[in-house]
Amino acid sequence: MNIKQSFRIIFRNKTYSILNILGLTVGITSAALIFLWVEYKMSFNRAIPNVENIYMIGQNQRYGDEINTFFVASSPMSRTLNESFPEIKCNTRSGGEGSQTFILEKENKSFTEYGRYMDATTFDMIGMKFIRGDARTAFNPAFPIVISEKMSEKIFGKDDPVGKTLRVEDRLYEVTGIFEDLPGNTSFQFEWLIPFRILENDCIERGWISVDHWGSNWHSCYVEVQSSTDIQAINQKLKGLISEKTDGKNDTELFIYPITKMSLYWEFKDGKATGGGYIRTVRLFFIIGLVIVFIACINFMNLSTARSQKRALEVGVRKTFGAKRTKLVHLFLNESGIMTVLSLVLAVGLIYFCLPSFNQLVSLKLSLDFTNPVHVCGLLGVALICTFLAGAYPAFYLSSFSPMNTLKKQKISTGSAAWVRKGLVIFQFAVAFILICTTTVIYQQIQYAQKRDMGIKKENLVTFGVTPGFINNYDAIQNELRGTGFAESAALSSQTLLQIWSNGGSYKWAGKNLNTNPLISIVQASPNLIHAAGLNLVSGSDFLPQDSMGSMRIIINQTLADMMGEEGRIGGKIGQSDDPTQHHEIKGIVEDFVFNDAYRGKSDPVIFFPTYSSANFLFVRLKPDVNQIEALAKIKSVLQQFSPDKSFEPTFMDDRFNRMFSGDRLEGKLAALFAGLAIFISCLGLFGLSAFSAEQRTKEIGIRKVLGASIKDILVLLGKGYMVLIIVALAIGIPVAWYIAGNYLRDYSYKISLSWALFTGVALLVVLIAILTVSFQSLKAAVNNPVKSIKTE
Amino acid sequence: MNTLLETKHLTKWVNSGSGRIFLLRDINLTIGQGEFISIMGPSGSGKSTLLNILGMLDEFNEGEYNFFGREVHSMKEKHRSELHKENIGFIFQAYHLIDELTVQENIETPLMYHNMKSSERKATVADMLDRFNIVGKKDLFPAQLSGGQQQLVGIARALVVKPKLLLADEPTGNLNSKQGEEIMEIFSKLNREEGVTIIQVTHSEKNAAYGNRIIHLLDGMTQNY
Repeated sequence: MNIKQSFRIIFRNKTYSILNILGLTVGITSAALIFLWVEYKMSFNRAIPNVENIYMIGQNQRYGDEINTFFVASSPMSRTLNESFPEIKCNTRSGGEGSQTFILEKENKSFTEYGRYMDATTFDMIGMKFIRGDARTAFNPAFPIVISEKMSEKIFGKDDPVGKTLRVEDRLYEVTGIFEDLPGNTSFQFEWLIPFRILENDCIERGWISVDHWGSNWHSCYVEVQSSTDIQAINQKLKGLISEKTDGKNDTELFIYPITKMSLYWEFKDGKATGGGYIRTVRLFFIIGLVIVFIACINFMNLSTARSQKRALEVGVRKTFGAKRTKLVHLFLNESGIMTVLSLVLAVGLIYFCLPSFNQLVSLKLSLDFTNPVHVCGLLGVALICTFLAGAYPAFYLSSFSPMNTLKKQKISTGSAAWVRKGLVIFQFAVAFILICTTTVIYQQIQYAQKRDMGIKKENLVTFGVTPGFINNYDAIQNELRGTGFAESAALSSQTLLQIWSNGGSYKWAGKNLNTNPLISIVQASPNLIHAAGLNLVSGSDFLPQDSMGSMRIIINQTLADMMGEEGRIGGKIGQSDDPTQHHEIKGIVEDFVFNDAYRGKSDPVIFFPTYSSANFLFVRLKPDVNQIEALAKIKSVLQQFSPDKSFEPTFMDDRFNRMFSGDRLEGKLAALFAGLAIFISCLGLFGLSAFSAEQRTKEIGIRKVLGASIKDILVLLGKGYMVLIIVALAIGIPVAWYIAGNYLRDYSYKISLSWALFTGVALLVVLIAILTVSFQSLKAAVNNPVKSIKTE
Repeated sequence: MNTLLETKHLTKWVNSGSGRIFLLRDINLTIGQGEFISIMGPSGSGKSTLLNILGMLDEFNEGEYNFFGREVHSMKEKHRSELHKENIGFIFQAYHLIDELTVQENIETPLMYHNMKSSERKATVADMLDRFNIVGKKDLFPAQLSGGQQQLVGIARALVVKPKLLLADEPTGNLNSKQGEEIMEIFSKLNREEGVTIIQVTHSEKNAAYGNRIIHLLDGMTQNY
């Protein structure tokens, strides 16, 4: 009975019901999308069965006063863990991660797939399921490879690939197993695995690594501890391990860190996890989701209490005929419950409708799953919260009216409700303002960093991934490239220069303060790299071919030169050896360029070494006015001549650069989207309130017009009250937004400065939106013929 | 006697289904400055419509309306409301005071739309309160006044802008006879002593007699002139 009446009331007041339901629907949908995203981020690595026991080896390395934390390991690590750590069940090394081109000889087809080198212990550790082959023996042959179901299907179709071979350059790998495709959102994303020992042997043969050196870290290491092991005790034991093994020469401290925390809690300071990292962003979005639902609920509360005058008579009549207050509370809660359920149903539809675009935006495959109790409970929870949050206050307020007053049609005092309403509108707009301000600041900051002069000429610069076999032919390739007429210059480098992931410490020079030990980033470069990359030489010159023949000449950046003081000059010497005669001689100094973190103000020190046997990238600078498509095609065909097996995919430096911002841009876009929705929902509420007050004041407006009020006067009259609220909201919002934006920028050293112009601009925008929202209804009231509004009393 | 307003063939209709319903048909009026006119007629004869048109609150479909030598029928909305604001005061049967405002504020409202300075407004309102003997009630709200008192406030509010023409739509309709007489006396006095032109709509022959001319309306047409 009650429900039927509630339905009738909802349908009779169409405008209000639509505003409420629309607001709640959009609110619930936004929150649900945010929560799905948060759930995804929070569940990193959770798909791994035994994840609670899997950790990664971390190191705290001391450089002068600073402690830097890295998740890396050196060659003796794995062995030592096996020998003297029974509490660690097993460990696996991981390295050489990247794309590899495989040749299927028989059909002469090539496939480029992403994968890495790891130990056989991996299979069990992360719960890989073998469809073909035996996990226990898969890595026994000399050159085995295990591949994913997906990769197998792509290369071999329906055939059983076990026993077949895939060629990489001049080596044949035997397929010994197929594993089930791995779950996404883990640290372990690969289509193929090759034994780590093969990578290790190759590196030893090339002389890149030494097996016994604790200080040369070149791979990562995961461990699985025995269940219910005391992690503290393991860490205590690990802490002094390197120092002990190196007789105190190396004071690096080891520890293990849970892989569930790898993506969210990666921030370390002074060798300790700060508890911060990406989790801050995730938490922020979670709060935004809650706030949006709350804003939608506010609309409901405000519209209900604003209309209380209309419902007062009904309450009076019901009470006169004996309705208890609890009955009335039920009646009003029913109404909010029905509205919420309607909104929830619409929201589920809207979520399904929006998910594809949302997924595209965040580049994920999120889905709403009704078999997942978390999702079902989440939705029902939101609905329940909405019902009570939105319904409880109006229910208790409306049911409190005294029947005597309402029946006598006396004005009921709406003082308290009016104040609550004003407070809530202020809250809505303050929040919307803060969201818009902070997203604008984030956007500007990203723009600012993206437009900064990186010190590298990104334009017309293309990079190709290269392999050791390719490098052997480099001289010939260079000549051919020059012959195409498209390439202005070319060079090899171990790093993209936008990112430098190789570094070392313990460098010494004359006059060095012995208490400092800066960590220096290292690039291996072919002749001409400085020129090809467009770095600016401050003094000295680029590498020449003769430098690469085992010379001791190096190029450094300005930061390092400054650090070296007197010795930071052309002809100055620097090296890791204690014997100064073994030191390298500076032949060039380049201007600082930005790498790894586009938001950093100051560059780290860099050394370029004139060796390129371990280069990973070929840089080609195109002539400025050539047709790029034609040029790339020609260059690719030249490269192909020398490495027919490999497919060369060019990557423009511009694109690499833009990719550095993709995460930030995504978060910026998300935040902007939800800031927009927050103001939209707030405006729905404001629209409803202004419609209501315009309706309530129809007669007054008529009278005022008869007394000579112009349309403008009426608009001002109706808008004034709301404008005061908006201005109070802004007054509260500005300092809060300022604080939040300042806090956000604190993490960056290359940053915009907060300007009043921005806050004023956003404030004006919010005021404008509010004016438009209010005016729409007020204008309708203001242009009404006063004769009619006076008559229809 | 100077002409204040003049209508020629004034006609208003509303479309209803296929046909037209005439609210006013071919109204020809000339009203001089200082006249006190009563419009009479049965319900639905178009009295209030005519009053609203003369007060420039409502539009008409055909004919001419000249007010103080200016052509209202060819005027833009903006100028028309300006003309209305400057020259016309309205009094309603249901008083139509603004509930949320005090007596003083109600009287002050039209002055705000005349862009009068605050100090000047206060003085003008004080004069009015004094003149209608409602100084003691200035801080009360309409709901706290009797009908007669409310109508006094209504009249004070209409007169505060010193209009040339006072339009009253059954001003005594909600009042008892004694209160009604008081109001009529005030009208009469205003007309005689201050030369305010008054047009009132009324059902009462007695009230109509206060005026110097009666216009009878029937079915939207004037009966005698």
